[in-house]
Amino acid sequence: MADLLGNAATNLTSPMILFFLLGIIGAFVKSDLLIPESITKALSIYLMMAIGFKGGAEFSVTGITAATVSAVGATLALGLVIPIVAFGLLRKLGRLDPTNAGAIAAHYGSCSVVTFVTAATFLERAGVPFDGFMVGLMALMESPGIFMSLLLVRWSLHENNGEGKQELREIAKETLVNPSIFLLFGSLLVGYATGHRGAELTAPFFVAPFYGVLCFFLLEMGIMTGKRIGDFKKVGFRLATFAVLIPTMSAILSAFTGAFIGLSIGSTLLLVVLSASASYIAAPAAIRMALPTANPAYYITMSLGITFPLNILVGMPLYYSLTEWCVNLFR
Amino acid sequence: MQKLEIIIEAVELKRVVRILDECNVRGYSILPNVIGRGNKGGVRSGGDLSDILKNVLVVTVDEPDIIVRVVQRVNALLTDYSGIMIISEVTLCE
Repeated sequence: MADLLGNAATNLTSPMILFFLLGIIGAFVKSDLLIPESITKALSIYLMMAIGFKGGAEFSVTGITAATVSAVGATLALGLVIPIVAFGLLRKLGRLDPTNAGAIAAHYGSCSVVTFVTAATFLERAGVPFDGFMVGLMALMESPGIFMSLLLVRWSLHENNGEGKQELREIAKETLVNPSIFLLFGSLLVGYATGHRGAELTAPFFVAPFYGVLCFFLLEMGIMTGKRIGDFKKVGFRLATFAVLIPTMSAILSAFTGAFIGLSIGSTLLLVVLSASASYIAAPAAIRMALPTANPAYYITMSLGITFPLNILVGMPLYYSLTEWCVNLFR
Repeated sequence: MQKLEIIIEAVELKRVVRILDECNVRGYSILPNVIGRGNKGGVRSGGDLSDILKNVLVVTVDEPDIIVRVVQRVNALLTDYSGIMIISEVTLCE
């Protein structure tokens, strides 16, 4: 318990989290604080390049091992299982129609890059090592959940026509070459190819400014989140509960999975964060195209207005304690 | 000549552009971020990283028969997505 409170205090007093809170407060008090969109996009590109490159450089040292292969398998399995469970819960307990249930499940089956980066920073500050290939798993987990959810909706609505298949192909094309997946995989490969020599060469750009840039980006995320929290009433208490319940279920499932396949505490925590986070970049765009009748107020508010701040502010230390417990259980 | 202005959700921009190309319009201009309020209320101005809360404006000028073809096809998109089309008579100076 003392460890949990200590981790929570460390997390809440980090400059990244305090800037995130500052952004939320700025939105609440209706400050005119506004970060130009082009800067936000540039910062998100920087963060993805930096995390992908660093992961690739570390991956070049360990290479492909049995742990890498099992982690890839576990990630794909979680990416497919989580939306199925979430879809079932939303249909049975949430009494949602298939389209809205599928739209929400897609967001929880996919993952959030910023939550992952914040978790990696949390581990670096705590001195807990993690495997470089985890970055590749983040890129791997973005799409399967979206496809699985779309299939679940089509099966539920008995839409197996050719037009639906054509649309799925279009979504697959859009999602697989979306900028975040492309950039994460690409930077990982560049980092892998250039190894530690490349990492040393680019350290002044990718390492030294990283935390400052993350502060800047989380300030903007705080502003976005603050604007969304007010939409709580649009989703209602029942769906807001699911925005807490689904990540909790995913965190428990992935913590046991990571520990079972023998990942370290650091890598298991990252797997937990990938599973418990909800997408707010790739999934909304794909779902808005594929399921236009689903209500965006539901999935955007749940992922960005509830799950994201919850993971950033209180999830990290809780997930860390859960991960430690699970990994020790299987040792 | 007629001018057609289409304000539609950014996620549908590619489909609109495909329609314009398939209808062989002379050309078009795109304004990538349009802020405003529609008749259903609520200001749409982006505010997320996925672009789904963002609107774009597409402008094209062409012969009336081509504009009618474009309007018929874009109209099908407007049943599911927010948007509006404005048609006006214009004189083109080239």
